[in-house]
Order: sequence, then structure tokens, then C-alpha cells
Amino acid sequence: MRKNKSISVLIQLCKRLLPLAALLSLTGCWDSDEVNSLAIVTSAGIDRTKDGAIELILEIVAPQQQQQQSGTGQSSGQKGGKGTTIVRYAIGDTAADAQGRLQWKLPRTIYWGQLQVLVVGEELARDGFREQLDYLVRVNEIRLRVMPFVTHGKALDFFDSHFLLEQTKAGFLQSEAARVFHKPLTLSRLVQRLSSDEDTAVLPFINIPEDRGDRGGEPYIKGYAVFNQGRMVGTLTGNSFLAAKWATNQLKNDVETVNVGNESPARVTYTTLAAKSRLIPIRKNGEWQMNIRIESEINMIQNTSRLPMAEPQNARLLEAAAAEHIREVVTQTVRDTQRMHADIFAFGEAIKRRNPHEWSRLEPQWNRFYPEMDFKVEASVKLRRIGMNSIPLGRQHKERTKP
Amino acid sequence: MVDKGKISRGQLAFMLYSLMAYDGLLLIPKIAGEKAGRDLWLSPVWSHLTGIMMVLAMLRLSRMFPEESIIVYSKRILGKWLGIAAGFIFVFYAFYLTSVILRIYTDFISSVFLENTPTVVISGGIMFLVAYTARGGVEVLGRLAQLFIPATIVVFVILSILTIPEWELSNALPILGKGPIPSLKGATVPFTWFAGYILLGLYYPLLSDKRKVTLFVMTAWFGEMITLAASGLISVFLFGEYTSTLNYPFIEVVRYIALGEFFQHIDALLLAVWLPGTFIELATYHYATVTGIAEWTGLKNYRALSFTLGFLVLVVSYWGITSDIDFERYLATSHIWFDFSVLVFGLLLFLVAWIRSKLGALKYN
Repeated sequence: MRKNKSISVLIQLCKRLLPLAALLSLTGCWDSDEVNSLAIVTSAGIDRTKDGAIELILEIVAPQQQQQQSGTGQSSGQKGGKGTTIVRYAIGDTAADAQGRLQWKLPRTIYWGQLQVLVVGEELARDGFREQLDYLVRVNEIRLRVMPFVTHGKALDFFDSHFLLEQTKAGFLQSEAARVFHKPLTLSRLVQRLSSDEDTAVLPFINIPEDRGDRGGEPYIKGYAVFNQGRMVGTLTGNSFLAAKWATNQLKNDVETVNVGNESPARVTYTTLAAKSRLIPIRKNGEWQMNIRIESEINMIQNTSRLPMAEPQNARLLEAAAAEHIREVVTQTVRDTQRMHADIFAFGEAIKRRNPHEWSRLEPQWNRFYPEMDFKVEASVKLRRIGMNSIPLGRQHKERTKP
Repeated sequence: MVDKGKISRGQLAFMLYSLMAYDGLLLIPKIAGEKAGRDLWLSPVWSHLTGIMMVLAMLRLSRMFPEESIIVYSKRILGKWLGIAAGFIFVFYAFYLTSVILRIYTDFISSVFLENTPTVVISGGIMFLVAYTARGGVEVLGRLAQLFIPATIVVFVILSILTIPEWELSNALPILGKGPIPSLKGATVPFTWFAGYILLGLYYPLLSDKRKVTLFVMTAWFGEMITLAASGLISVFLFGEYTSTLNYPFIEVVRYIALGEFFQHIDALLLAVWLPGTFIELATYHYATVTGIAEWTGLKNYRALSFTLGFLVLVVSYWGITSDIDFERYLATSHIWFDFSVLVFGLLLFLVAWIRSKLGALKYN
């Protein structure tokens, strides 16, 4: 009797505990990953070797490095000059194949979840890297937030390049992009552009200084690499880069100089506080024409001319000169892209938004239509601030009030 | 009814909300996007505006027989033999849908989160809990829905708000660029999912308070529409037409979230929305199967069936289709017809009942 009772209590207890047993299976121990067993990738580079194979370069976080270098002195928290990441590479038929080969050589499992930047070598970019991109958008750990870049020369050169300011290459490129662009380009934007009707894209183009070492300076974003039909067809640098950023609302931290008035010296330097551009497609005589309307507000930072900008009529002069400058460089840049047959400003998209029916007619011949397309740049500039000094330094007060 | 338990109207609304919202959140942007392009967020709106007839028909039908389940009153409407056949259709639908949803759940978890785990552990684990819940009766189910669903809605709203800095509003333009046809085509799949509202026939008699039920059911209907349209719209804002190329657009949306350097990689939060939601959805269907079969066969006690049927569901979810790709194809093709026939069946049942009651040929209690 008593025995029966205790058994039934046991059964009751088992019943109560059963759901907990089910919970255990939900943790999925098969997929458990210890941080200690992972090779955490922060940046990846892909490139093409001379014989057409794919080279994959990974920058992997090396948390132990620090301890090893400090040697016996446990208390010394001194950081090694090499940084906290290591670079490994492998060559394979495809990016995924190279990854597999790299994994053979690595004692830890490659973990893509922390991937932040992707660097594509120029050679592969010119050949088209869309096929290799397929691997990155397929891996389930990789987020579409990864920032893609194209580097001058070989991707491995970038990973070998020397710089001291940031600990990892990924951190370096991220802060570089945040400095140069208003809203840095991500993989999501890139794949959208590559699968759009126009099939054009731009990626930041990194320049690597020839002379490596402390004096040579660090790599920096020099301009845009322009892609057409998945292949890199050219770059936009200098003023064209500025203009391209202007037209795509990406302008940040620019410095420009224009001439105001006829007297010499007449240079006025300013930065842009806010800029906004819009594409307005209009039909003129049955043909599409694009109006690029750019509005910006500027902050004068140096005035070498004799004209005090506190006077409204002089401010208007500067505004007109700055607007003319914008018009000039943007017009030149659009011409350049027309020569490259690459509609990087998404003129097609603008027409599609305005008139989807027309677009379905234009789309098949867009690649021929775009280079011939008429466009007009309208720029309006407002001078918002002139800094802490009202009249040019060294100019007499008398001179200013003279009629 | 075999179950003496009662649920409140709010609990019913939460359960109905779960029938569509969670799978829809995950699958509709992709399925609708294939047809509708950047208008994919409009598809759930169209489907809900047309699907409302199924909801109203089932409500009306339930109100004609407020104390009986669909298994019992279909005999009253169609006569004994046809009625038994109708009961079988209902039970089969509930049973089969449980297995389909279980399969969707397993595929999602194993392809996104637990790649190396044997799939049977994933599906078996959740199915065990579901069977255990259904065994507990409708009150347990109702309270769980009340507990989980509001929390998931809150997390979903927070996730949506966090994506705002990344919105590219112009991605959604032009709206209806190719006319309404593509988005209407995209609406077919979510429309057929309205077959799920046939479960009202089983849950309605279990309500403790039958006043103003329409209001509660309509709230669930509206909530579903907003959830699906919002998840579609956010996907379009972030990824444009590329949305339909992604296998699970909304998980990419959540992965895209990054506020500053530190607040990112919050994919697990989506799981916090999706897992409890799907659990309630599965349990709602499974409970309908269990009590439906008990009533159909005239059993006094339904509890013994729960684990047995749960095991069968598990088996059926693997039956026939082994690859994920084939299953996805099945969902977008044959399964539409299955759901659609059940939808038509529900509407026919209502029409027959309505006509017979107008002729005075229908006997109420």
C-alpha cells in the first residue's frame, strides 16, 4: 500500500518535471559555440590571383596576442605594436572554396557574425565580383550591414599596410567611412543597386600609399569606384568625388575654395553645413531631361578677399560663386559617368518613380539612352555663418565705411 | 463540448491573431514580394479586405449555434453523413496545418539559428510542449496566449522603431507603379490563409461571454493586417525590391539594426517575438485537432489523444517532402489550393446554413 503510494508520487513528480526535460532540448547543444573556439572575423578581403583563382583574406581577432607579448611581466598592460588582429589568407576556386581551405589551416572555427567590412581588390573588381558576393549574402551569419570597399592594387596590400591610429583594419575603415560619408554604403545598398534595372553601383575606393612605413601615411578613401554591369569601369576622384557625394546626398566634412570678386587675392574657403540634392525628371519636347537640384548651406572659414562677407551684397556674391562651383563640378562629373555608361546617380530610378509606364519603355535601351541624356544642374547656396570675425583681418574700419 | 473550460474574448482574439501574424511576418514579405515587387506591403491589405468575408461568415455561423462546435452543427446543417464528412474535413485541416506550421518552424530555426542540430530535436521539442499545452485544456491555452502574445507585440513594435534610422522611404516608390495587378497577385497566398478562421467554429462555443465577440475578432483581424503590412513596408524601406530575394526578409531587417557601436546583433529578439507566437499558433491548431477528433468520434475524454496526435503531427511534418526548397515550392503552389478549398468549404457551410435558416428548414436547439 505504502509502496504504491510512493510510486504514484514519483509518477506525479515525473509528470511535473517532464516539461523541464523538453526545455533542455530547446537549447540545441549541437550548435553550441564557445568564444574560445571561434576565429572571429572582423574584415574580409577578396582578390583575384594572376591565374584567375580567388584569394580570400581574413582579419581575425587575436585576444591572446597581448598576453604573449607582455611576456613574464603579468602586470604590464603594454600593448604590442602589431595590433590585436592577425591576417590569414588562402586561395581557392571560389570565395567559399578559399574559405574552406583557410579553415584547414586555422585551429579555430571561422565565425562570420562580426564581419564589418569587405575589401575587394581592384583586379577582381574590374573582372566583376558579383559571383563572389553570392557567398557572403548566403552565409547565414553575415549581416547586410557589412560595408564594402574597393582598394587600389591588391587587397592583401591593404591588409599589409601600416597604420597606428586604429586597432583593427575593420575599425579603421569604419571610422574612415563615417568621416567621409553622410551615410556609409552597406552591402544591402550594394546588392539593391546591383539587382536594379540600371545595374550600376559605386563603392568607396581606398588609396594605399606607395611608400609603406611611418612617413608614407595611411590608406584613405580617395574616391568612388564606378561599377557598370557588375564590373568596375573607372573611378571618380578629387572634385568628381565631391560632386558625386553632393548629388547622392553623401557630403560630409568637405572644404572648398572659390574665387569671389575680381581683385586679387580673391580666394574664399568654406565648408558645407547641410546639403540636399533632388533629381527631378521632366519631359521636354518628348525627351526626358534631368534636373539636379542642389541646395546647400555653407560656413565660410577663410576669406582672403577684401570683401567683408557681413555685407549682404558680398554674401550674395559668395553664394553665387559657390553655386557656380557646384554647377561646374557636378556637370563635369555627370558627363564623366555618361562616358562610362554608368548611371550611378540613379536617373533611371527617378524616371521610374515619376512615370513607371515610360520607364518600362526606356528600360531596355537605357544603357544607350543615358549617355545621350540631357541634364541641368540647379544649385542654390545660402551663406549661413562667417565664423568669429566679421571683416577680413587687417582691413581698416575706415575703408569699409567709405562710400 | 468535450472541454468544460472557458476562455475570454480577449484570449480568443490573441489566439486568432497568432494564426496568421507570426508565419506571415516571416514568409509573406518573400511570398508576396515575388509577385508584387516593391508593392509587397499592400498585398496583406488586399488579402485582409477580401478575407474579412470568411471572418464574418464564420462569426455568423457560430452565432447561429452558440453552444455547439462546428463538428456537431455541421451534421445539423448538412445531414448526418455529409455532416460527418464535414467534421472530418475540419479535423483533417487542423491536423494537417499543425504539421505544416511545425515544418515552417523547423526549417526556419534550423536554417537561421541551429544549423547543426538534428531537426527532429527542434520540432520534437516544441511539439512536446504544444501537446502538453493542448492536454491541459483550453483554459491553459487561453492564458498562455494572454501571457505571450502581448509581450511579442511589444517587442515587435520596439524592433520596428529601432529600424527607423535606416529607412529609405523612396524605396517604396512608385506605389502601384505597374497598376494594382502585381500586389493583388501577391495577395493570393495571405488570402488563402484565412482558412484558419474556420477554427472559430470550434473556439466560439468555449467563450465565457458571447457579447460583442465581433469587435474582438475584428481587432485581431486588424492587428494581423497592421503587423503584416508593417513588416512588409519596413522590409521594403530597408531592402527595396531585393526583399523578395531574401529567404527570410524580416530576420535580415532585425540584423540590420545597429544603434551606435554597442546596440547591434539583436537577432535573438526576433526569436523572442517569433517563438512564443508560433508556439501559440501551433497549440491553437493542435488543440482544435485533439478536441475535434474527440468530438467527431464521440470520446468523452480528449486528453489521451494529445500526445498521440502530437507524435503523428511530428511524423507528418517530415512526410514526403525532405528538402527545404521543395517544401517552400509546395507552400507557394499546392498548399494554396488546399487552404483555398478549406476556405470555400467554410463559406459553403455558412451559405447552406443561411439558406436553410431562411427557408425555415434548420432546427436550432
